[in-house]
Amino acid sequence: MGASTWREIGPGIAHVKLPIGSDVMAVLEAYRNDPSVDYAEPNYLVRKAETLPTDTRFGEQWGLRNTGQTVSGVAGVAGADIGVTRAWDLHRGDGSVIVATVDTGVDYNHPDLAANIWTNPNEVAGNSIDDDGNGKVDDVHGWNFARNSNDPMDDDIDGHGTHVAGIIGAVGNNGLGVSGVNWSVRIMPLKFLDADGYGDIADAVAAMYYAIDHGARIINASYTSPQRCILDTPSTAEREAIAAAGRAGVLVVAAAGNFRCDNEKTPFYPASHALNNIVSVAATDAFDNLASFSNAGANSVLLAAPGVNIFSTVRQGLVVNNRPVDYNTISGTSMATPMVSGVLALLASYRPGLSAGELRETVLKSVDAKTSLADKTLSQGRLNADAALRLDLPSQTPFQAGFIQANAVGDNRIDLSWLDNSTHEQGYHVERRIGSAPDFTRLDMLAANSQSYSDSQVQLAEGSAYRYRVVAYNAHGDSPPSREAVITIPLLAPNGLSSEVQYNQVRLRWTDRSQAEQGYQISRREDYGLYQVIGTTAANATEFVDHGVRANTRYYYQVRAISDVVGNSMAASELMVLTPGTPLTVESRDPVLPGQMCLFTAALGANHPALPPIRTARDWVANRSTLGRHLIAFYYRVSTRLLWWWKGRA
Amino acid sequence: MIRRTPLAGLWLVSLLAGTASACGQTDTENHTPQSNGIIVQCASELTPTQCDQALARHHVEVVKSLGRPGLFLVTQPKGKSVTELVDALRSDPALKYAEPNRRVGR
Repeated sequence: MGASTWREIGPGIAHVKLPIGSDVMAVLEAYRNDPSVDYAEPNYLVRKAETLPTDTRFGEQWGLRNTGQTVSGVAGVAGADIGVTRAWDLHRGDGSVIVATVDTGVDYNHPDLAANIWTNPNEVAGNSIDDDGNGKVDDVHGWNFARNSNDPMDDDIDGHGTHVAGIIGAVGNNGLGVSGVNWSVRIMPLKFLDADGYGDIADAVAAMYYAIDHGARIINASYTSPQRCILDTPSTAEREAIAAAGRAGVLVVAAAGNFRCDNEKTPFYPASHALNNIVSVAATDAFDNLASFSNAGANSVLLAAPGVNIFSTVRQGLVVNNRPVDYNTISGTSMATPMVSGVLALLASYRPGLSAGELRETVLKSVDAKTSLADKTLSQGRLNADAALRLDLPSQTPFQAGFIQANAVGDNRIDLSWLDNSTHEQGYHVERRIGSAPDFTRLDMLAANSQSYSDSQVQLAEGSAYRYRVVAYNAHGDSPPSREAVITIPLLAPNGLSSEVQYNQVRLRWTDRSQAEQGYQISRREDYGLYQVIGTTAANATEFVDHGVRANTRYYYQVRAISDVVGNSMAASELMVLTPGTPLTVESRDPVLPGQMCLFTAALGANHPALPPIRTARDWVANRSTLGRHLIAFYYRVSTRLLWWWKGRA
Repeated sequence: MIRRTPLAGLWLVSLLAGTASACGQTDTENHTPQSNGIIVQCASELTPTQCDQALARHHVEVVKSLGRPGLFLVTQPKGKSVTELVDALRSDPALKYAEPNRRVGR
């Protein structure tokens, strides 16, 4: 045959080269007829697999396929995308999965969406009858909760809901406009935000229950509180609706928010509810960096997805720059969120046997790790559709726990709680590190699905830091550790704060209860002022003298133990003091008649009980005004003269 | 929850002017949520009639049902603040929870 061995590519496997002009098929046939040859095959050329749709503006969808193309004036980095074109080699969606968009509505007539809009199978269009008995008449394509009508048409000034819907499932490969992550899917339009993009929790909750009751597997929630970075109170109704979705096997994909907030410090709802059917999403740009506007959260925001300059459908005829358009570019975590919803739907139709938790964990386990997201999301990565479809979850280590928190209870117990984000862990290890110890040590091993632990084997020492983390494990190994929950036992605050007050100084005394303070910090304010630090002491001090006071002034003091290492203690109970007026220096101005004999003293006797109140009134009332001081001086001068005159008469 | 590209410049200006201070800090002050009625959930063991009676005790009227038995958006009667009404509803053992119906946005 003239073939020569070029190289060994495995035990007994040879890559052979044929002479130029050889008949490959004939050589193959000869090899295959040779009993010493197990098999023979051509060495096929391969290329990176990729399915590209015919949608005319697909090239503007950098989030789906980033070749470094310029979109909205920005040329990104090739490969900084969700890799969906490679996923499409495996699956493009089959219309079996319903994704509810709880949003501003959807233009269900949009030519790039209409074929993928959900239709209520139990409702007859236009017969004015509530055929399915759900309390809603002719809810053929969803419901408008904002207006309580059966028309969920998007009327938003930006076409927000239609944009979200297009990212999830604009009809793919139809030679028109854009492609959704799913070429075929069922989008359930649930409108609860008005034309200005605002709505309320009640309607959002009602929309979620509608989605649950009508077969949605995924709810896309690209909405949040309009408040910026404040300590928001979570809605119980919203949390219960999402928890009900979880019990029904429905995932809720929620936007992390667009205010650059740290969701660990200022939770953003619904993304920040600690429920394991929520997938909270931050946004990345075309360089795989966290978008400049995106909220983040190392413990609670699960992953990131493209959300800057995202090109998608908008309601038809939307006027942008004075011309009507059917497509537009919008940025926000609202756009990153449907990328994730889309991949979850794609995966759900590709692997219909996966539970909601498995879908979620598969997507989280298959992210592309990015250093730019290391402290920004729990998965530390960006969505990857291709990896999600190819991941075999049972052969993976578990995904790490989130939302870990620690609370000190009494003097010898710390309670931990966390969110179990894994569906196939065999258990959890609880690990602890105290103070400056270099490493974590394993405390305990817990059963699968554990989400809490009480560490009662600990003596809480003032000023020490107690760090905890949990590690899920299974036969394939350990998950990455959860984030750390830290409890720092504060310094003991001083107590027994007392004072010794003079007109020009205040001496403060307290009881030193701390064993670990570096000193004490003394703060002072006046009636309407803020506390300002006026001095510090060395460790173990028990008094401080404030020389900076004025007479006749009310002051408030706080004293706290301080430490650079563990922070300051609480303040001792506030102490109020009132400095007296300056001492009286009233003298007779008559050199002939010296002395300060007083009419009251002469009349009542030096030890009469009425004199102390009179002196108090003199010092604390009369002495506090100019007129009073003149009266006092006049009194002393006149009374001395009167007494001498009376004595002379007598 | 969107960023409009045509307004990117404006957004950048507002970001420089205000967002940094607004988002970089934690505002711990209590804020009064904008309310558009009250969301109430009757206790699960109540019959619909008992739930109606419980709501009537607080002089509230149902605006709409929210998709689950006993879960309603109710009106805020005149003369009562949101806080007063929510406190009263929460102290009623016939009701599982009550909260102001707050605004949200895209």
